[in-house]
Amino acid sequence: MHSSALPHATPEWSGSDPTVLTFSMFGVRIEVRVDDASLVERILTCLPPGCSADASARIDRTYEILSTAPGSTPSHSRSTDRFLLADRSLVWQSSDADALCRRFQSHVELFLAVRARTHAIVHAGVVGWQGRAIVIPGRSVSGKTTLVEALIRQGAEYLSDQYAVLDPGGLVSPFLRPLWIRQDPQVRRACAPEDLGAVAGRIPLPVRFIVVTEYRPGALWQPRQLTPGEAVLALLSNAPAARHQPGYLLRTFGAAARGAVTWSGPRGDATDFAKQLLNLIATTLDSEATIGGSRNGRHE
Amino acid sequence: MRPHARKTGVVVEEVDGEVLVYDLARNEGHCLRDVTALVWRFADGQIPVETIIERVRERRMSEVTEDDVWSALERLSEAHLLVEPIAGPSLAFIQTRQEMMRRIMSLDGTSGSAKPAASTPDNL
Repeated sequence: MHSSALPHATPEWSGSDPTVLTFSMFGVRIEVRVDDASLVERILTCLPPGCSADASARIDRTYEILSTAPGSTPSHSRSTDRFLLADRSLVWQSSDADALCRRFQSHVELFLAVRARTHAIVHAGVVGWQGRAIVIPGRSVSGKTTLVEALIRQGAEYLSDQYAVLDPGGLVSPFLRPLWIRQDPQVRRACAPEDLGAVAGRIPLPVRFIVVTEYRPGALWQPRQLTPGEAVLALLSNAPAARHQPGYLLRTFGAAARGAVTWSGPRGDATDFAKQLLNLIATTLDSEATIGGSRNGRHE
Repeated sequence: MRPHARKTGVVVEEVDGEVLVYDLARNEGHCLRDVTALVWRFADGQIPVETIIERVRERRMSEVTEDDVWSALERLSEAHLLVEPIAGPSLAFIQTRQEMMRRIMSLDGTSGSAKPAASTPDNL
């Protein structure tokens, strides 16, 4: 599954030993070296949706997935462990290939979120609704995937359950990967949006609503409307790159927040909340249309 | 006293009349509005508080009290957005008075003070 909103081409494999893959996304170029050919196909499925081939010489990050400990020779390696390195530093060590791949995927995505040059990335769930984007910033375990799932079951379009990808004009692009639905606090399973009856978004959408919330058992959602400045800070506090490029993020988030209505407050059950949110959105849009119509009437 | 707002080591962006200040040293974002935004602009370390009060009143074209400006300075100081933190008997008096007012207002549930949102730390 790939986004048409972001450049896409097949990543380049060298065919050498170890296998070397290069790809780029958001203006960041990554090289991956894998010394176990049986892992290559699995690694391919871990690449971020929409990544593309890139012929430039600059490499921003090199990952290595090795079947022998760094510095040792294969003949001396008795462990079944595999090793994930980022720029020669050990990131993860495990005999569980799936766990290693998941770690690789999350590490790559976070690195892209921090170093992105062409977009500003926020930890957030994103859905489309009537041609507009609803952005739900929040860290892991804030309940954003559960909320995204509840919204797409109400008919919203799926754009992302992990990152909001914002361009300098304030549009949010799809970041289409399977939803990681938490079955219990320890276990999550990947679920294609289509399996939930969702339509995947294909084009960037203007940010129209920003919902700052987190699950609190029994909470009744009584949102406070935030100012655009407060909305920018809410996005910034969920942006991995905040410390690295705050100026760029402030400008980009400002462009997104200017045209958006932002609500903040804890929520209760996701299904009830999703219905309440979509009702409030409908009321807000109706109200704006009425005001706009009245204004037009007066002008005429 | 000549308050001096920090203009170095910060990134500033304006959004719909609000001033967003990101503190590069502390990695904190702040949203300044109304009187606080004006005080932050005028506090250049050269002019006394009395002049800042006059300038804020001129810009706002509305009743702005000395307490409003001192409160703004206090918030800027607490947010580490002044070169030198402000202190003194007058501030202590205002802090006491503000605390008293907060308690009074929170008792009847009509507090109009802007509380920071959970995910917008250090929102002023």
